[in-house]
Amino acid sequence: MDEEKRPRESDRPDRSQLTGIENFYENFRKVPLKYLDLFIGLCVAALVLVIALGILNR
Amino acid sequence: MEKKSSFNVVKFMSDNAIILLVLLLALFTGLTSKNFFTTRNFSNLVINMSPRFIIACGVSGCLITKGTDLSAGRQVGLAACLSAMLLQSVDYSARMLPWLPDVPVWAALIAVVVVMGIIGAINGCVIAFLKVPPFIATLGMQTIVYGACQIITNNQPMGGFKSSYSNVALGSFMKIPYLAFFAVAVGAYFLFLYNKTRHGKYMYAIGGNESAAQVAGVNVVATLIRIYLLAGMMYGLAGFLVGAKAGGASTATGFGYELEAIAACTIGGVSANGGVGRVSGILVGVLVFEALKICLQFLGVDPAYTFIAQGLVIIVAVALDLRKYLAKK
Repeated sequence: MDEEKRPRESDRPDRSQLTGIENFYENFRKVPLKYLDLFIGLCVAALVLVIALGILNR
Repeated sequence: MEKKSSFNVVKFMSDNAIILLVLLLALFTGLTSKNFFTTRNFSNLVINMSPRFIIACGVSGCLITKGTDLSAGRQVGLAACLSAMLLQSVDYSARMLPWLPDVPVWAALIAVVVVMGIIGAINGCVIAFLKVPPFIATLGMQTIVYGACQIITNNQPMGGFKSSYSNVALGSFMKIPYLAFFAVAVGAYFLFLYNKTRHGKYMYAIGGNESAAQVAGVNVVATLIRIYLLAGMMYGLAGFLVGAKAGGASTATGFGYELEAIAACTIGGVSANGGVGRVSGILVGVLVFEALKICLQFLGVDPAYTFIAQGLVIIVAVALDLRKYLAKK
């Protein structure tokens, strides 16, 4: 499967021109998307686990 | 030339993970619980959703312009308290303002919306003129509004509303709760405002690139003030409805509503980075959040687990927004 294209270093915006949230998001610029996908998957799994635990402990 | 299919199932599931999960949960709840797929429960869902949708519509303008409004919940609380003070029954013994004559419901609604609009406009002025980051400006306003609410109400919970006020939330027309009509009217207004007006175009332009919008002739200051003013008015309307729905109001009313609204917007595709967001998405976000809560209530899950689940939903929504941002840039 094709890896999603990421921007080159030179394409990145000047951080002084960014808002707080964009600056926060820019901190994750070097994190590969597959790790982010893994994190989202883990969070969804945790959500399912919490709901299951909640149902079992009622 | 062979046309490559543009629909990617994995990407669709990844982008809509929370929505699909809540749909599955609703299906599971419906199959395992009695009375889940009933008109009564649907009506309950609509009643819960309506004020939250109105709040989320207000917050959405702030988010689209790369801002936020952390004072939303407390403003809703203040609006509910003001409505309660104005609309307590004249013969109620513990009336907060015993000297006040009987106020018509519509007059109280207008008064509350105007007061909250002024607070919203102050937020907008601080953000637009003084260039204070919205996060800080609205955090300050949140605390100010909470303090003002405590002073105004003497920290006393209020009840004993006159029946015409309670009927705003409890009444229905052809089994459709009145609250739904308020939500539909607000949704239609925002749909028109965001898609068909100059204000909507300016808003998306500011969210996309504020400097470019300014150079292109957009009055950024006036647009931002209008957005926060409108948001304040929406909190006023929502607070009025929340008070009527709850049958009482106190300084605790509206606590945490801002986070629910921001989370619902994010789930619905309103990017915290601005420039992106649709009214239909906000509706879906609010529906998902409320459906999650109602499903867990039906399943008899301890509220502590519900809070954890809601927190995880917010984290996933922000992570998905971050993923979209990184993939796009």
